[in-house]
Formats: sequence, C-alpha cells, structure tokens
Amino acid sequence: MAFLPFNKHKRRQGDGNAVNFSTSGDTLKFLILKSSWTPDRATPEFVADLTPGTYEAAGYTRPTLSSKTWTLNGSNEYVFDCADVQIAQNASGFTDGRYVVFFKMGTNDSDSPVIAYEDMGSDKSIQGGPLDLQSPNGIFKF
Amino acid sequence: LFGWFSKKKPAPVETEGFKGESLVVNPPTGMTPERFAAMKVKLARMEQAYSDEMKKGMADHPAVKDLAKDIAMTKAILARYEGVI
Repeated sequence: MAFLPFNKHKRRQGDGNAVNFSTSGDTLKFLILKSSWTPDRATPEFVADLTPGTYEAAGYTRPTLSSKTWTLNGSNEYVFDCADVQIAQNASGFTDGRYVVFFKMGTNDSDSPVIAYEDMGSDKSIQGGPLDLQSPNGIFKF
Repeated sequence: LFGWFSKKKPAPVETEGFKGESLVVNPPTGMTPERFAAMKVKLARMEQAYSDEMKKGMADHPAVKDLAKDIAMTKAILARYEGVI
C-alpha cells in the first residue's frame, strides 16, 4: 500500500490553508489508527474527524517527523521525506495498529488537518518490540 | 523522409499529482545494500533541504539545526559501510 491523500487536504492546499512541508515549516506527525477504523478519504478534514477516542491505537505517543525534506528529484517531482520513525515498545500498548495517518499539528485535534493515510496491510503490535517505519522512497511525491 | 522530419513531438502532458509512497514496516535490522542506497538518497535530499533553508536565512531554526545533526550522523554511518557493503 501507499499513502493516499485525504480529499480535504487537496482542497486545503489550494484554498489558502496549504501545509508547509519544508524543514522549517509546519510540525508534522503520524498517528496510528486501529484496524476497526473504516478508511474514508472523503469526510475527514481534521484529526478529530477520525474519532481518535474510538479508533486511535492505544499506548503510544504520536511521533513528530524530524529531518523533513521537500526537494526536487530528477523527474520534475517534489519529494517529501523525513527521518525514520520508531514507535517505542510498550507491553500494554496496541496490538491492532493498522493505519498510519500523516497530519499537520495544530493546537489540538480539532484544528490539526489530516494529510494522508497508509494501510500497513495487517495489524501491528508494539507489545513485543517497537514499530519501525522507514520511508526509503519518501512519504509522497508531487 | 519528409514525413519523418515534419512529425512533431507530442506536447508534454502533465499527468502528475500526489503520488503516495509506501512505508517499510519493521525492516530487518542492520545495514543492507538496499538500506545503504536509500540512505545515500536521503542524505542528498537532506543536504539539498539544508541548502534551501540556508538560502532562506533559517540557520537558527531548531528543525534546521536538527537536520544538520542528522546529516552529520548519516554521513558517519555511510562512511562506516562505504566499500564494505
């Protein structure tokens, strides 16, 4: 699977609410949703719209993306990438994390716009070890 | 022959948009040739991004300082495996 953009992120990029992907730009984070969440690209605009109280995986801290890069490649595409992410092991943490949601941090879930999500394909657990997420080809291209 | 010379190249068509990439979840630990190659590409991206931030006068931004540290660390890791992997 690959990251899929939320429709309202596309709208926001063109209506004066664009995300700044550069290193010194906006604070960007990942959050993990449980497999019980039904993927929906059309409705969510903010993290709160994902109903994190019901669907967010338990026992982890949302990681902030570091070493963000927004650079041109040799194919006329801008690539967004960041350092590898590790979600720490927690013996009482989630066992049903399936979707990685990429979002811009605001002041709370109600003003933090969602950007894209990726289906990891199966439930992931952090009870026996950390969850490592690497992006060898970047997060997305445009 | 005349037809060949007069044949116009089709105009480029922009068909691009958001193209999501895939995360690698829980990759094998340790250095692999694939990981080494990916780190080299990431290093080039980080150096380009750092250069762009310098041009914007953002040297004192905390995220840019962190990027500089990550560049140095990545270079050190790559140097350790250069010619070995």
